[in-house]
Amino acid sequence: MTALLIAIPLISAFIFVPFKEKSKYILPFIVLANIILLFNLPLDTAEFMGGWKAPFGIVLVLDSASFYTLLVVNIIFLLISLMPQITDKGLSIILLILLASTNGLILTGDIFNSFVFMEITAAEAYIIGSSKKNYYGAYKYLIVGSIAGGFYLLGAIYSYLGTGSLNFADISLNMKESFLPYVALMLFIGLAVESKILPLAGWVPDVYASGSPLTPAILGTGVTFTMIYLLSRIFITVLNGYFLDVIYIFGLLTLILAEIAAFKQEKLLKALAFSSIAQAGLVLSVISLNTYDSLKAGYFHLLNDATAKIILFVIAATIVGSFMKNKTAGISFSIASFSLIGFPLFAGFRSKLLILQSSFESGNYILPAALLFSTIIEAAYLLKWNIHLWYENNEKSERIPWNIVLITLILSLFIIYIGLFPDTYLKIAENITNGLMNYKAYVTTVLGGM
Amino acid sequence: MRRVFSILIVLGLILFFVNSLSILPEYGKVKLSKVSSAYINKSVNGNSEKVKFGESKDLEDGSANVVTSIVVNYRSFDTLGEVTVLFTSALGVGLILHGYKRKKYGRQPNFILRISVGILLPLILLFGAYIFIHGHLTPGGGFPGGTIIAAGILLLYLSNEEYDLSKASKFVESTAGSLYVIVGLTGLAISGIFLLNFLPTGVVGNLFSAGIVPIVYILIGFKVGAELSGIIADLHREEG
Repeated sequence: MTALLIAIPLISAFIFVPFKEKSKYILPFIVLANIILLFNLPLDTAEFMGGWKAPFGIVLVLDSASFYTLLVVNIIFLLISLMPQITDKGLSIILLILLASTNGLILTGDIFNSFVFMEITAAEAYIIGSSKKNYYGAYKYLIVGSIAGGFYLLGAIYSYLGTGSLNFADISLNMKESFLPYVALMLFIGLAVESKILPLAGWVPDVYASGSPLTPAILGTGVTFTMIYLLSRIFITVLNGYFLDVIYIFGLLTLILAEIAAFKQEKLLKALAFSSIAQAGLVLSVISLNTYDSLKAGYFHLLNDATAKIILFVIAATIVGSFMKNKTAGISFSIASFSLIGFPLFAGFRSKLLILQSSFESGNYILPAALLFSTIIEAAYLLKWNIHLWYENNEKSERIPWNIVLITLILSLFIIYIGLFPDTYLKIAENITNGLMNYKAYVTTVLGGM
Repeated sequence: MRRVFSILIVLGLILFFVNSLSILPEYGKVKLSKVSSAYINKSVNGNSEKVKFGESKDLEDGSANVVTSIVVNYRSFDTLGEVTVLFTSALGVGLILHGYKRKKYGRQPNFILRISVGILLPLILLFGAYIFIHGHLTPGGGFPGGTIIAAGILLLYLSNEEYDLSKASKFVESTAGSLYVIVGLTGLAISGIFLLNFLPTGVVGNLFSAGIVPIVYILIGFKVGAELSGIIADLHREEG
């Protein structure tokens, strides 16, 4: 039954190709059906596609990690599909396939299958990110993304050579020692483009600032969440923590360099794009400490970041002029940016505190220093933008549609709620961590009691 | 500075790949892994008898072409994904070129081209159909068969300005794609397994021998043909 999570969006996308105009009404219902279905699926099971058992066929694994990641990503899709002004322009079919492919990426337990779904996700991202205004950025993304896809495929080929199987569980059991560095490096290059590690994230500012609010809202939250999940699934569950020190260094460099770059930007969307890169770097470096607490803190922060980023990106891309005519939107924007900086009482404060705690506990002092340094820069530029947007005198101000205001307001209230009672997000983060760390249970679920 | 960095990175990558040659098995001396040998002997579910062409009956999937049996049966889910990749690319081309009018030259193409298309087109379509119907017996299958059909459609576009098959190709694409998923869902309905090969298989090497494999390949052939001709139709539009 797990396959339905992929099959339902896919078949509805296929059916609605000749009727493009009607497809935007169907999107929220499909996402809702997916979420309802998700709650009715049995946990800790593996489903074998075509009936071929684990190392031979393709397997979809639903454990606590993939369940909660699916939940988060589907809810992000639901929120975005409820803003029809954003999903207009014939992109709802693209979103349906993107939903199928992110669901597939999260569920799959097979490395070639994950490559296929990554290809679909990347193709969708190129389409969503391209417009006539930013053809150069989209083209750059296309080239970088395709090369990264090639590296990921090579990594899959090397892991097949090294184990004789493409199954995640089988790879984690039988991988030959001599193949490990090659596989790890190639998979890392393949994943680094989509999960925004700095030398390979040059496409992000151009694509996110393309003008359409949909692009950053979906690529920066849902797709990033999926990619970071896949990266931690591969490097923590499958490769048992091998190569994580390299990811740690890249993550820290990304955090600091991207925050400095964000500070220098003169366009709001570009600044937010760089801030999104920085947060991804922070989350990856926290996750790569590979302890229970750090993973939990990392995912908690990722959730907070995703919530804040939806608000920031959607409002930043729709607003014209100052907040004085759109006070509600302005308040949600300010709340989201305060949470991103990590002021007390907001959700971001909780997660940054947890990150500091977990890294001090594992005896690491470089990460806290980098985090505090980046927080200062973040506070500087986000406050600058807030003041700028509130007090700028602009005659051209337009009203933002009511449903966008309503959804962003609900999300910003939720940020305050999480700041006071963080249990909801902590539970999700804990469950994802449990699923990722417990690789023995993963192997038994997939391969049976061996 | 940038160039120096690029050269360094490229050199590093070359070194990395040259280094990796030492761990790769020598050419022609690869030991088959358990997965590949199970695929070739059709013994995934544990039957260890030797497969004989034209004699063995009711094997796991029954298709004589090993590549087909991997692509459409053992790893059919991947193929569904690959079809979606192509679908997405076609959709993207359509979205980006949307709104451009088709350019008309207002004169007839060459006489030889027009007449020879009339003769060649049925043959090309027949050849394409042969390739995807016999995909489970001989090398070939839905992807190359669909491409050949799209090549025929390209000839049609070249020889006559009036053709516009983009609507029809959309419908074919949509139906073939949904039917592939429906075939998968039928397996799910029958015994709870997505993309299960639920039809009986016959003797290896016969035309009717591989259960749902030929059906899926025919659908893929239609879908790929329709998608590629959709791309041709989209690219045929030009600003004018």
